[in-house]
Amino acid sequence: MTIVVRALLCFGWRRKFESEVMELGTEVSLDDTSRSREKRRRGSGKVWTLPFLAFCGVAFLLLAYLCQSAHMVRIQYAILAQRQEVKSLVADRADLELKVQELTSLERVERVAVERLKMVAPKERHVIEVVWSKAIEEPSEVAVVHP
Amino acid sequence: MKNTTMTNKSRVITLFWLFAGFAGLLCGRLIKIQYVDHAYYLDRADAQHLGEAELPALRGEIRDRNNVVLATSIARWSIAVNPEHLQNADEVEEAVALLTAATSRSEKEIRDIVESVGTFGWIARKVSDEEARAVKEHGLKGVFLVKEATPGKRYYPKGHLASHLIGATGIDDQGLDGLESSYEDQLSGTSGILRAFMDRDGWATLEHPTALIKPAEPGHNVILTIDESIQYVAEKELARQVKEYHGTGGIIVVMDARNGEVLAMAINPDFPAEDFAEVKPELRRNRSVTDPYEPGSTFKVFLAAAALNSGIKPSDTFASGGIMSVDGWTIHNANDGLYAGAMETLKDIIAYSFNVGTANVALSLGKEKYYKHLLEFGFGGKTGIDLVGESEGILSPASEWAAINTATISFGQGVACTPVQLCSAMQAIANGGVRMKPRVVKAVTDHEGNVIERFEPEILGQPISAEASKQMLDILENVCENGTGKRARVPGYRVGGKTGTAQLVENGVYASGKYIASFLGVAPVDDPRIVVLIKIEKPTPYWGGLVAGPVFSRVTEKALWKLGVKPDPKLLKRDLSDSGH
Repeated sequence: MTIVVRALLCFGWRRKFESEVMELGTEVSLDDTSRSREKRRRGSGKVWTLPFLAFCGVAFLLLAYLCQSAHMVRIQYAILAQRQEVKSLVADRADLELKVQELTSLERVERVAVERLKMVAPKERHVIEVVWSKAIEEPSEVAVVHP
Repeated sequence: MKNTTMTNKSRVITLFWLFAGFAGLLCGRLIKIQYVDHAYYLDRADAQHLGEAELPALRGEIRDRNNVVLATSIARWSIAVNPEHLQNADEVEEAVALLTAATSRSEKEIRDIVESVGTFGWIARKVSDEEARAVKEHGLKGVFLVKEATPGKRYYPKGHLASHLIGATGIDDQGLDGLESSYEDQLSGTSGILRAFMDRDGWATLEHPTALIKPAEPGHNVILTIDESIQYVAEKELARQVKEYHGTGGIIVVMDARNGEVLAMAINPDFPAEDFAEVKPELRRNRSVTDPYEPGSTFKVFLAAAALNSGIKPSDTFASGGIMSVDGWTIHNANDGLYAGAMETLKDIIAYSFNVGTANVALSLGKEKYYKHLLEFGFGGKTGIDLVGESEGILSPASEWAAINTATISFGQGVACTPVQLCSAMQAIANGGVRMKPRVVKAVTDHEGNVIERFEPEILGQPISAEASKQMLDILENVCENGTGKRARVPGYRVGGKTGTAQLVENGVYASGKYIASFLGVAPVDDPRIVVLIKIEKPTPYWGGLVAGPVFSRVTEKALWKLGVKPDPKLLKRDLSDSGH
């Protein structure tokens, strides 16, 4: 992109330079002393615009380059920050997974069930036998065994 | 006038060119330094203030067969300070106050670090989340947090679970015992290299890392054959029975009958895995592989299996009553009520655990045949289980056996084996005579879960025929139906096994009044899925059927449910009716 901008600018300057030189030549050909002096003064002013424009162009290019570099640096810092954040989030996730593993420990689950929720193991064993019949698609026999 | 003007002009021009030349030289020099020799000077500067720091690798995890995490390492925050950033006394005081409140270090220690000359100092390594949060919330200048991998900091989220099996790591995060040690190469990972700024003392700091030269490769995960639920039930039931019968400890091993995978390995007394270093060495040893013991009557199973494999039938009878004299030594039954010379079938000899009967079976089988079978069952040699410190047990060669040795070994005296050896031998009987290599590790995966290595079942041999295996299972079922193992019955399942009550050997002699109660069983006998060994040390009372039988029943029932083995409804009704439910 920088190369393209440079090429366009170079092309623009060259065209401008040529038109100025042509205009200057036309003015000089008029042999009127006062007008000639005036024109020369005006012409010399126009000649000085060329380096000024060139300076502006170079300055613009330099500025554009600096802006681009600064932007890239900013993006790189943003990427770095994001990477750090990802790293931190991954570590946080590992912490949370560890906590989940601790909380789902069978020992803890049983302790909470018994001590906090006051759950008790059943004293009697109840067994329900369900036999499925294909003909009616519903349980045909239900036997409950208990004391 | 003209000459003066010209002289001044020439002086100005000369001066201009002089300055221009000087400026040109300066510019040239700058260009050389900044552009031409840029890389050279950059390298020199880097060499002066950059150094390499080791980036510790995160240790791999140990997981159960269902991917439940049993041991893990996670990065922790460490608090550091840069004293140069604390520019005045107020900032120093604020930092000291914050760090004293947030960490467990004393004010003096913190002040020494904060007021020191330098650019870096650790305040506290691997602090808790709360401590890190307290520091982070204040955002104090010069105080910062570094997330570090955790050498020396291992987490065991399931607490006591399988602590003997898992083992522990040392201060440098190296495996010291158990699976942490035997799978050290897979778990440890590879450290990385980080380029970082050096402080004035030449230490690389992690405050502003500049480049990652080599990333740390986390260790691999080890996937066990252990099932968290079965392990938990085994540990809980073992602890309950040891307490109820005033025992000193015990062991339960649950093994997959089809492939030798260990589903649970419970050892009592246990301890939280994180306290490994503080536990006495004799308590943290994995006794199921390291400590052989005299198995007592559970060993009769292998005599019967050898006899069946050698052509003796379950219905063949042998003298089983009264007192028997061999090489001048007297052998008698424990408590039989049989008259001298009573003949019993092999099936009933095992069912009622007649010592005289087994001695006669062994003598009629012959020591060479018996010894050969015992070797093939894996006694007297390591099973090859992937755990450190496995013992071979004690089995003297048959050439050294007198008749009395043949007789006593038949009922489990004068021979010693580990719980894993017993389970492995029983697994062969349950698996159509084919013995598989016992193992506790199923696979090794990378940190993303991709399988690196899978451990397939390995056949170790076939000590007995499929027919003998079937007959043996029938004999074992008879023990639970009619013999000494009635308390080991599992509602809804056909189970078989053998009780054992062995006198404890201490310092080479039988200790008076000290016994080991055990039960070695298989379930279900019609299609064996698990082999279970229960061993309770020094219980009161001490009978194997009474103490170890009920534990077998409870552990086996839950394990079969967990494995998806459905109970037989008819058997369930019968068993519950028999037990009064």
